[in-house]
Amino acid sequence: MNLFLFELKKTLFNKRFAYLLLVIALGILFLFGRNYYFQSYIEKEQEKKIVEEIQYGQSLIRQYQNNPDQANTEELQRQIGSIVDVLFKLLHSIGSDDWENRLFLEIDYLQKLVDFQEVGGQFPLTSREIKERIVTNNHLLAKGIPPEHPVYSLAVPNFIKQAVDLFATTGAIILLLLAAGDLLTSEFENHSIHFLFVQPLKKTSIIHSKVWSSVLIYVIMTVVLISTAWLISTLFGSPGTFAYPILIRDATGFAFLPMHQYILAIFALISSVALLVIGLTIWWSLLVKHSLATLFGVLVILVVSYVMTSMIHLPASVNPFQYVIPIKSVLNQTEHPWWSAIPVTVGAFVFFYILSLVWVRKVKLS
Amino acid sequence: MIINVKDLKKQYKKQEVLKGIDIQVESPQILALVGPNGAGKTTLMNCMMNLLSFNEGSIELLGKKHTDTSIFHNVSYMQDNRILYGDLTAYDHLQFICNIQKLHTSRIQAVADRVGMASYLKKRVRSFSLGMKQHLLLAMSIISEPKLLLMDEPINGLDPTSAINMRNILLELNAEGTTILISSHNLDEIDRLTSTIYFMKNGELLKESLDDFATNNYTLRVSHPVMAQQVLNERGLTFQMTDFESVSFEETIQPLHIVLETLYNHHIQVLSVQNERVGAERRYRELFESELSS
Repeated sequence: MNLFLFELKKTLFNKRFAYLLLVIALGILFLFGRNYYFQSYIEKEQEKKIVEEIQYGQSLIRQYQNNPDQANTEELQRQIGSIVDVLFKLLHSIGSDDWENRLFLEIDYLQKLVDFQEVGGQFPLTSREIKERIVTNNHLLAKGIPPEHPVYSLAVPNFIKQAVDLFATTGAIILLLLAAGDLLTSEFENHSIHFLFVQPLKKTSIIHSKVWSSVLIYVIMTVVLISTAWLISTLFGSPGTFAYPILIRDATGFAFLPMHQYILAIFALISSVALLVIGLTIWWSLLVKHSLATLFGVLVILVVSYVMTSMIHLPASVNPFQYVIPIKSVLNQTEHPWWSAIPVTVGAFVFFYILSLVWVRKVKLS
Repeated sequence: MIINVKDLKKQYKKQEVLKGIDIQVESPQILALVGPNGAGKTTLMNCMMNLLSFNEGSIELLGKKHTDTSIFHNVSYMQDNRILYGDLTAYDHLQFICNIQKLHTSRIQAVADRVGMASYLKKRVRSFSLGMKQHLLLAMSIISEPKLLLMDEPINGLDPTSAINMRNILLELNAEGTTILISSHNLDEIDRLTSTIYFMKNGELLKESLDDFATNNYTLRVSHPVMAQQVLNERGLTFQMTDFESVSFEETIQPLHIVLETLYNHHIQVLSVQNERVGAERRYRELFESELSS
C-alpha cells in the first residue's frame, strides 16, 4: 500500500501525465467546437444530398422517356416520379421544427425506393442502408426521440458517445501507453529500481503497485474524458436523451441499444483491453527494461495479434485481442454477443500479471 | 557477525570481476573499500545488496542471508544519485522510507537538520545540485538508523563543509554502533575516517590496517624560511618548501625532532606546526604503482 501511494504521488506530480490529461480535455473541447461550428452546415448538407437525389431521379425520368420501349418503363417512370415528389416535400421540410413529419416523409421516400428497386429500378442506396434508415426512423418515432446528426450532434449523450468512440478507436490504448507505458521501464532506465530493491519490500509488491497505478491512470483518463465531454455539452449543447437508439446488427437482423447501454458496453470493452495492455506492458517491461522497446513491442503485439486473429476468424470467446478495436464488437453482434471476449481478455491480463510476479523475483541488474 | 562474505566469485562473461572475496566483520567499525575504477568495488557492494547475482560464495549480513529482504530494516545502501525521483521532493523520498520502515515521520525533520538539508526539504529533487543530492542520499541512508551502512562514493560532489559534516555524521553513527563500509576515491577522507582499508585490485581484496603504514605529514611555518632551507640542506635532510614560508616533510623519512633541533640550533623560530596523518594514499601508491605510472 505504501509503495502504491508513493507510485501515485510520482504519477500525479509527473508533468507528462498532466499534459496528457490536458490533451484529452483540449481534444474534447476541439471536438465540440468543430460540431458547434458545423451546425449551420447540417441543413445545407441535407439539402445538398436531397437535391442530388432529386437530380438523379429526374435524370432517370428523362432516361425512361427517351427509351419508352423497355419493359417496365412505364411503371418505373411512375414510381421514380412519385419518389421525386416525396423528395421535394422532404426538401421543403428541412429547417422546420416538425421532425416527426420529416421522419414520416423520409420513411415514405425510403419505402418507395424499396418498391422501385423491387421492380428493377436502380438507385445509389443499398437495400441494407435503406432498411437501416427505415427501422431507425420508425424506432425514433415510436420512442418520440428527435433525430440527431450522427457526426455533429451537440446533445449531451450523443456528444459523450462521440468522445467515447474516439477514445475507443485506439485512443485509449495509445494514451494509456503514453501515460503508463514506462512506469516500470523508467525505474530501470533511471536506476531508481536499485533504490526499491534495497528496501524491505518484496519485489512482487513493485509489480502490484505498477499494475494498480496503471489501472488508476486509466481510470483518471476516463474520468477526465467523460467529465469534460459532459461538462462542455451540458454548458453549450442540448440535453438529448440517453435512451437515444444505437442501431446494432445481431443474429435476428437489427436491434437497438439505448445510448447509455452502448456507452457502458464500450467502456466495459475498453477497460478489459486496457487491463490486457497493462499486463502485457508490465511483463514486456521486465523483459526488455527499455521504454521505447516496450512501447513499440506492445503495439506490435497488439496490432499483429488483432490482424492475425481476425484473419483466422478465431472465436471471440478465446480471442483476447478481440477488443483492440472494440466498437465493431458492439455494433456487429451477428456471430457473438458483445461481451463474449471479456473473460478471455481479463484472463490474459491475469496471466501476464502472474507471469510478471514470477519474473520479477529473478530480476537482477544487468 | 555483521558482515560475512565468503569466497565470493563473480564473472561477467569470461572476465572474473570478483576473485574469491572474503570479508568478516564482527564488531561495529568503519571499513573503507579502495581501488581504481573497474576494480570491482561497486560490483561487490551490489552483490552484497542482492542487486547482482554471483557465481560462487555466500553472503550473510547481520546473521541473515543477503537475499532476505527483511535485512533492509537494518541495512542501508547509499548509492549514486540516479536513484532519486526528480519530480518528487526530498521530503517525499524520506517519507516513503519512513512509511516502508514503519518509522515516525518526525524523524524526517531531525535527519534533515542533522544532514544540513532542512532548507530544501520541500523542494523538488530536479532542482538540486550534486551536493544537495548527496545530502538527500545520506539522509535516506541514515534515517532508519541502520546497523550496517554501505556507501558507494558518498563524498562525490560535496563541498568541503559538507564533506566535513558527512565525516562527523559517519563517525557519530559508528560511535552509536553502526558498521560502515565506504567506497571512495578520496583517500584523505578515508585517512580521517578509518584505519581499516580493503584495497581492491583486479577483483581481489587486500585487507590493510592503516596503523601499519600510516605516518604523519608535518608542515612547520618558520621565522626565516630562506635560512631554514639553507641549514636543512646543509644537514642533508629531506623536505619541501611550501608557500615560501613553510617546511614540509613526512615523519617516516625525516623524524620531527631532528628538524626541530636543527632549526633551534640556528635560532630559527617555529611559528606553527601542522600535522596531517597520511597512509591510504601512500599505500595506494605502492599497490597501484603500475596504474599510476601508465
